[in-house]
Amino acid sequence: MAGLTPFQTVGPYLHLGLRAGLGPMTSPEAATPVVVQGRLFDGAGAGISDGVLEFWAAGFDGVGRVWTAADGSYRLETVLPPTWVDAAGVVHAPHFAVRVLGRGILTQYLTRVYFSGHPDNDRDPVLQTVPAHRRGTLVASPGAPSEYEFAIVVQGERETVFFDV
Amino acid sequence: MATRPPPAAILRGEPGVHPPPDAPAYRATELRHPKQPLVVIPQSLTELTGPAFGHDAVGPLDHDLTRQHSGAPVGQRILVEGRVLDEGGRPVPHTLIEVWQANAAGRYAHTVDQWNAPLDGNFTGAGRTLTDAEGRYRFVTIRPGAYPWRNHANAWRPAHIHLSLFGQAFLTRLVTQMYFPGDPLLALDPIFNAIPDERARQRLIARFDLPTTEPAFALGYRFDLVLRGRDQTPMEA
Repeated sequence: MAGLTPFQTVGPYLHLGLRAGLGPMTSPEAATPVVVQGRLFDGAGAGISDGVLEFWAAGFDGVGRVWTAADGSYRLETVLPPTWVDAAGVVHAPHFAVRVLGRGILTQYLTRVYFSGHPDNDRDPVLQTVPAHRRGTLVASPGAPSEYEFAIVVQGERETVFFDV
Repeated sequence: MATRPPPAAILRGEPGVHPPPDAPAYRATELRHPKQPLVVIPQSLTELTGPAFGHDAVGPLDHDLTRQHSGAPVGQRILVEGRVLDEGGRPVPHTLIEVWQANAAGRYAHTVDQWNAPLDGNFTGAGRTLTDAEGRYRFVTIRPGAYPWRNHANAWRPAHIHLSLFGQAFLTRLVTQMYFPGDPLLALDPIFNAIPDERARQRLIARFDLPTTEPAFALGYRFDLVLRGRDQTPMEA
């Protein structure tokens, strides 16, 4: 067995190497345009200005990589991932896996974004694994038509649920 | 609704390799690490798949950071070559590697970097490549300089190159930094030393290699990277 290479932070100059974009956020199985937007917050409630988020859903053509702005805000234009059923018959509600990288983040924080009001949320195995009082941190709330608001809080009250997976 | 069987599980790897989220000596972690415990979830198709990058993701000169401008950058020309493997020692083919670094004077071509070392109009310090079928990669660049930062009094980052890799699933991703052998700043660096395990820290130090060195052209460094691997145990039918 070869030993794993350790993580190191992306640092403040991440934009040089981690260009925004990375392939189209399209999928042969998804057609409904959605915008996911919000802010990335630190433990003092300030926006994280040197963060980068990567969104992934199975079967998509690319990774949705967005930088955070001076106030920690981000905006991703994409399509709504489909509901799918695994080999055991378990229904998985539409979601993206989200990776948080940034200065002051030595590794990566992994979370998910679900979509408020989707009828399959109530039987999604990951959402139901999360303690009920923290589940809401994984669910984007509706904004303007076809837009969702999703704040990511890395520390403090309303801290987003991060995964060990 | 589509029914989807999952690919093989991704191994969790050995403990103690990665830095903890809270590393007080690296002050920026103070307000940027979660305090709630991580929630353990099963791996699903979401985490077991990842993007495929075609050759259109990379231009023919993207691996050569010394040929992105009209002239050559100032500094010691180097080659950085190695292989991307998984924990089982299997090569990771056709995966995207992105790199970024400071110039020879230790200055990034980035608006946030405002210390008074000179910029180099012939050096941006960003590159990308795909590994080949055997997981090999190669960059041509210049050796980056060390630079001061505000973490503590008289703090200097050791010379380093940032690397970002995807591998074959959402969970195989790695973002790290490559350091140079013999750098006296390594012992003083809170980011490097946030890695708990001494042997794991040593994996981030490239090795000077004479066979990789090209005569009358550039010094050669070897740097292999190991990503999380798939469980090879056959699944029940």
